[in-house]
Amino acid sequence: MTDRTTQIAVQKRKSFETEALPHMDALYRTALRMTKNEKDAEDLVQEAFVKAYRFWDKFEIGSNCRAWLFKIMTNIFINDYRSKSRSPMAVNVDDIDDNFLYGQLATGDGPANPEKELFNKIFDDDVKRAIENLPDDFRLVIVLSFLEGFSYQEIADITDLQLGTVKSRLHRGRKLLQKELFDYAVKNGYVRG
Amino acid sequence: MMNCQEALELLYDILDKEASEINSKEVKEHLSKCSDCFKKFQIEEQVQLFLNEKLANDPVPQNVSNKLDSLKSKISLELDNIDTENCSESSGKKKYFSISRILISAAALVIMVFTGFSLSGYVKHFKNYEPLESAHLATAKNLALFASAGSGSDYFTALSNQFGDNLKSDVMGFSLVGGQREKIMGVPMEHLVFSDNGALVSVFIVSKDQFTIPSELLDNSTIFENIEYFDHHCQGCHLVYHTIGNLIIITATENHDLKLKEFNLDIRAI
Repeated sequence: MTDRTTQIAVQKRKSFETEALPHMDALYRTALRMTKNEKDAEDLVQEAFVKAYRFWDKFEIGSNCRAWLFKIMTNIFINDYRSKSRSPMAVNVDDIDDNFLYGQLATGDGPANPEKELFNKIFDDDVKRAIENLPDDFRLVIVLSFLEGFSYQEIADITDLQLGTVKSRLHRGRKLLQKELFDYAVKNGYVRG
Repeated sequence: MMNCQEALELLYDILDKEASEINSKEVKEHLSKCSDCFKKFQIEEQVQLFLNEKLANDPVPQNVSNKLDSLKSKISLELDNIDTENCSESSGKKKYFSISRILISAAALVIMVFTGFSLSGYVKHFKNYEPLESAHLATAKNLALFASAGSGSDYFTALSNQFGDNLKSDVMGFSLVGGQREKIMGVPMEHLVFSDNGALVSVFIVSKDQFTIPSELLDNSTIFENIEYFDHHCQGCHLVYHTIGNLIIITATENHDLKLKEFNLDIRAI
């Protein structure tokens, strides 16, 4: 191995560690939400970085590294980790009204901010479960948007979906979440006004 | 003028900060006039804030940091494996790049942290073998600097006297072409260079008092013709160590096919 080749290899490793590795925390966070267990999440992130390192020569330094890494990881998730069984959803999302919670809360006679009381009846575990119960396709865009703050276009690039599909899935995911959270609140003792 | 339906269609765009400036303005104007829509927007915003807060706090960051540390180490190891993938394997021993040396000397702390686990392996190589390899590799470039040490030369005579006439200057088709005293790893060594006009072999001779064979090699000795040898293979060079009397002899070559043990045997002329 010549000195020049070694130099290039060192440069490659160094730039990868500077540019790509800092995103590990965020990738793990999302992987955990998507795979729903720590072991799979770790494996997924590891695989993503290994693949990213192999393709590091192809990455344009200065362009959106975070989105690039998420795209690689999402790709692996869809191919290898997504649950193969698509169990039918308990509720048909299209039957849920738009602005579902508004419909449930704004009854006129209740307190000025009924949502506050509702939120108090929703526990951390409930939210976690509500997200986990979302079908993979919805959960993916929800997590990329809510948790990671990616723009619609970035999500479209990461998931290889049309912009319209991203927006539609976000919309429907939100409806599902609202329904689910409301059900938890009722179960936990929230009484409608 | 925007109507309710139009405003509500833009609700999530507004919430996600994806709406255009014009649309945002028009929606804001509508909301100032329509209390129903205003209330809808308000609740959606509350839900979003609620979800974001819950998402951010779970899992609890403290619990995750251990996981992240071990994950970081695992990833580092994987990257190391990729870095050393090009090394050719012989005798199944682990390969080390000279990349290791440069990594260590790189100031970036972040690199040190990320390669923490593999650092010990690299440090070992850097400390124990790399100086000998460098010394050998340098001969090709600096042969002229080596004293002419063919038999009959003063240098060789002096050496032979020192070692009690146990050195040959023609070994397995290689002739002694040069030699000098060098300080390697802080220890003075006699460095002889043999050439067959194709490959170069370095022979380092050092006193037992001043040099110890690396411990990981001592565990893996081979016996050849009743003599114990210790091998180190890596992508750079092949090193063979053995002791004779009060001396340690280390032969080094880049040519992995060369039977260094036989070379060692021959040079001693016993």
